[in-house]
Amino acid sequence: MPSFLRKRKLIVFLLSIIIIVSLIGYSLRSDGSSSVPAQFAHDTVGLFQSVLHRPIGAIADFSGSISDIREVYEQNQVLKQELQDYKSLAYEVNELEKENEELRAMADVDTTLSDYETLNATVIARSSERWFQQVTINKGSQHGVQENMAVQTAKGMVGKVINASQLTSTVQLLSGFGAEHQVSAIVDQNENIFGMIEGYDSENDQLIFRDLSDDSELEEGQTVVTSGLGGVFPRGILIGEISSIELDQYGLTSIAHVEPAADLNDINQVKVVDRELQNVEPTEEEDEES
Amino acid sequence: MKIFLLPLVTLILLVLQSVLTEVIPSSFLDGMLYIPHWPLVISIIVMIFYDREHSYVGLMNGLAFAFLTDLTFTSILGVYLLGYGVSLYVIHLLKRVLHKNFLVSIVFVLLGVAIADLIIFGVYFLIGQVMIGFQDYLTIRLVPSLIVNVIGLLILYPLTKPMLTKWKYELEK
Repeated sequence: MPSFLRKRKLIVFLLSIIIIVSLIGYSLRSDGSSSVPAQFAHDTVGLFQSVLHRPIGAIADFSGSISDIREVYEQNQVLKQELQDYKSLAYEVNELEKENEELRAMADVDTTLSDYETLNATVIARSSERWFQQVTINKGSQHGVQENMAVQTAKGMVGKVINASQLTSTVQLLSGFGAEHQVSAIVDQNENIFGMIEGYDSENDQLIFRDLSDDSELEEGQTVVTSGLGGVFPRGILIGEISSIELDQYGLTSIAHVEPAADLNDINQVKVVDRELQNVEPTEEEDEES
Repeated sequence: MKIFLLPLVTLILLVLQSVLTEVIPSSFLDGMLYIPHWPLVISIIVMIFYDREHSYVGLMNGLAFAFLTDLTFTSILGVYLLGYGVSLYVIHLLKRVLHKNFLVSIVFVLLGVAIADLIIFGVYFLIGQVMIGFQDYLTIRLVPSLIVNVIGLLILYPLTKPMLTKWKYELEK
């Protein structure tokens, strides 16, 4: 009898090892699209998360605002000055937008890579496994979120949607980007420089931008934006600013360290970016707007 | 009713730890990774104070929520399942040897979280998800995680232990 028990335990042990190894292998190879049970699990957990997020977030906001009160006066002075600049800037932008529209109408261009619509969402939870830099937002495929859409805050790009279930979706932050999530990027105001954001250096909290163009004109202080090529990201979403440049290990291409424009550790409100160009047929909403 | 209570409480703990991770700003945490394993903690408590010699309520509960953690918080399935499974089984073997009191439950939580987190680190290291060395892992992640989970135990213990011992008494009668 004991030998039988021992044999049964051994079989259970071996079976579970096989199951776990195949699970890990499956999830490493899968393309990330989620099945119906997985979506159900995401939505159930997401429902509880949004319920609990409200009171806990309110407490955290309250304690945060107490510490903010001290700095309000100084901030107010600075903001007043900036507001005056803003007015003239807003006027300028309006004029340019109008001009751009007219020119586009003349050239008969409907949508370009830079056109996009945004969808506001709130971050309700963050993966408690901190090695996976993932957050959950309270908008899902019911609201129009799809996989691979870019996600940004007011300051700049923060990541992309890797999993959209019905009512919530999971966002992979830039700080968790590896070889499997590369972003095609260009340097602002210099079309000659293009390359890929191909990883994150967690020691310095900086993104790694590999320059793929021939003549290297990289300089410190340049801003890096998405290129809109090769993917569903629109053109011109701010990623960050170059802080240092070095040659790669073979000395062939240069690698720039990019300081992300958005604060990846403190994210509350995000915008999911829906590029218009991929829509072959105009949707109803667009018709109503125009 | 009792059957649904344990999964419900564990689910709330699972959700609570993710919401707290979002709300508490990480600048406050000073580069340390405080990883809560509260579903594991409550499974250990159930295992010590409710499970008999050959019942596996705590183990099953731990495995189910390990899989849910894998599914919802990470993009690689099976890692938490392995970590929680091995750690809960070790505790299942050890609980026959030791008395069931508060100090022992602290020891079990420390041991269980350490085993689970070491396995999770090992597997992620093998498949290339993390690149940090073992020394860095010990200081940045393991020690803070042990602290935050013992805090979890200190909160959960007085709330759950009397109820569990009462239920076990009713079961045995």
